Amino acid sequence: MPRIPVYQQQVAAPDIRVDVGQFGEPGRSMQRAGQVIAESASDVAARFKEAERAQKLMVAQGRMTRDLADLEIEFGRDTEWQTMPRRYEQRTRQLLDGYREAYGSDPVVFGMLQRDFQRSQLRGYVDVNKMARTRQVEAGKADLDTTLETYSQMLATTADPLRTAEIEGRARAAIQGMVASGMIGADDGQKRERQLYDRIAQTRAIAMIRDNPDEAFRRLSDENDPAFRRMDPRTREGLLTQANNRATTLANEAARLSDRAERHAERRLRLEGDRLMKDIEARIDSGEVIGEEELQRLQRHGGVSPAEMRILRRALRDGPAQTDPQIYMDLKRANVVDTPEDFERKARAAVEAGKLKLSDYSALVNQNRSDNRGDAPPSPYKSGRELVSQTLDPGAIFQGSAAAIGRTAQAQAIVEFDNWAQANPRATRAEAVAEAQQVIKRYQVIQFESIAISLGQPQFITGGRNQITLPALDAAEREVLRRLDAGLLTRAQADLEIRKIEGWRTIRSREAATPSQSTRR
Amino acid sequence: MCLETALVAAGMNAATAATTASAVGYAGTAISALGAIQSGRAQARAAEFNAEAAIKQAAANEAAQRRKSALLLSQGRANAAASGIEIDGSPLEVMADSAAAAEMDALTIRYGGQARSAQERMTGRMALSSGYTGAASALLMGLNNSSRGSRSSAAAQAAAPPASVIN
Repeated sequence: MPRIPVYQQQVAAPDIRVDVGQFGEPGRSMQRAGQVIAESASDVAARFKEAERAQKLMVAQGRMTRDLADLEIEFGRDTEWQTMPRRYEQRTRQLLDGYREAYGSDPVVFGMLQRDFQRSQLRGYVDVNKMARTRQVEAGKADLDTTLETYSQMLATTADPLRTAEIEGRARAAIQGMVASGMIGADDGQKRERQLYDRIAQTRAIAMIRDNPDEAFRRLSDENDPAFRRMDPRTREGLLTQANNRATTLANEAARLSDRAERHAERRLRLEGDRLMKDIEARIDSGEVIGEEELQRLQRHGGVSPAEMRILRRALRDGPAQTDPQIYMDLKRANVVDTPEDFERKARAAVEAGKLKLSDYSALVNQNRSDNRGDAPPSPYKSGRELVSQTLDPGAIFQGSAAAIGRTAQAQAIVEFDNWAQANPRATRAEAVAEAQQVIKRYQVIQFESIAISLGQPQFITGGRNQITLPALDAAEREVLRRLDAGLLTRAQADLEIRKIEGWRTIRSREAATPSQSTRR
Repeated sequence: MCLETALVAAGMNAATAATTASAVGYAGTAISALGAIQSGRAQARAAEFNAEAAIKQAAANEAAQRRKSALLLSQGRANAAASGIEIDGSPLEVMADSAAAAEMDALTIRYGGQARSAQERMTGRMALSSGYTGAASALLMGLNNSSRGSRSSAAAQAAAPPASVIN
């Protein structure tokens, strides 16, 4: 049977679906590009941010360093050692609070700054503690010095052995207490103990120099004297110089007083002699005859010189004279311009020539003496003795054996001059000075000109050595003492300066005393 | 680096340059996030297309299956009639079974299309979601990069000693 063809194999519907993943690719590319941009920009931003932070940190560290340095300086001057560590902690805490306020907005910068600050703070805290300890030790030492000074003064003024032992024990205990507390070392303690004994001895010596410099010189020269046995040699030398100077000053003072008394007596004698002379002269002028016995008594009177006696005897022999008006006027003029010696010589010559009455002679001579009284030089003896003493004084330039040799020569020269003066009581001033210069030549063992070359110039005299005058030396000495009081010079520096000034003062004084021999340098 | 060189050449100070570079970084992050979203959306649209295509393909195949099964049934009825078989009783039941089987095939094809369409839509939703997640990831990564300095500051603070070392 025929069959109708049937369409058996029908085509299936096509699968038109797409690959979904492919459609996301452009977006993914965009995403990757964005990521690259973001990462790159983030790296750049991070680097710039780091740079900005580094800059901020640098500024902050600069401020911190300055603040801590200021703080260190402030505490370096601080003397309140008891509260220094606590106050330092408070101040640094305040500083840190300030930094937190200024830089706390950037935790990185503040964190690094805080770390640096706390390291410095710790170091500073240790330093401040050390400073506080140093101040404490200094204060302790100052207290000890004050205490020891008090004890040394007490010891110097007491003669009671029990009291002395008690005070010495207290002083030693004070020093040992400081050693035990660690404020001073054992060596320092021993040194202070030595200084204490030195100071006590010094105080005793100074008191002795003030009261009896000769005794002080003798005892200080004796190195076995129990009171000064342990004295430092330099201190001993200084005190010996002081004792010598004081002895010289006292001797000069005694000589001055003796000289004044001598001059006073001489003046009284002279006045009395003048009165007697005036009386005799009036009697001679009135024609009265004077007996030999009365003339002998007048001659024995110390107030009438041999020259006056010669005039008197001549007047008695030749009879009353009349004064020549011309001679009288000449003598009046000479009274103004002549020296007293020249005037008297001229007046005597007029009397001897019979051209001047004795009463006029006395009036003129007395007038001349009265006019010259204010300018009267020292007595011949004093002039010569002072010249010898000052010229040969070794002063403060020399120490040790050189000073001793100088002093010995000075003493012997003075003795020799005194012997000469005793043998020549009526010597004139010129004769006394001439003899003094001869004595100086024989005893001058120290060449002061050489010393002036080697002696250093005082610090507070400006200009060259020719500016070193006595007033300049006085001013320099005042300046040294002022600076010592103000703490600008140490005791050792001041001592050296004073020694130089004393040396120059001796040289200049000597030059002033003997200008013909001096050479100013 | 080009950006760094450009900023230095522009004479910017460190703070301004850092701010500018950060802004560029944020822009890159935004572009990256936008790219992720765009990628997800494009894939979602492609999946939707696939879903529609699957429905349409299944409908076409179902129709073809129905036509095929109708032809087979009609051939059967024609053969039976040609052979003089009465279309009742057992032959009718056989033909009814065949028709039912053909209908099942057609329905299976439709179901297959619907299932594939649903699968494609799910793929689209996942792609869209992946795009948003990628965008969020890009944003977070950008923020993370920009806060690199802050991370080092935290480390510096951790290294710093306590506030008071004196007590």
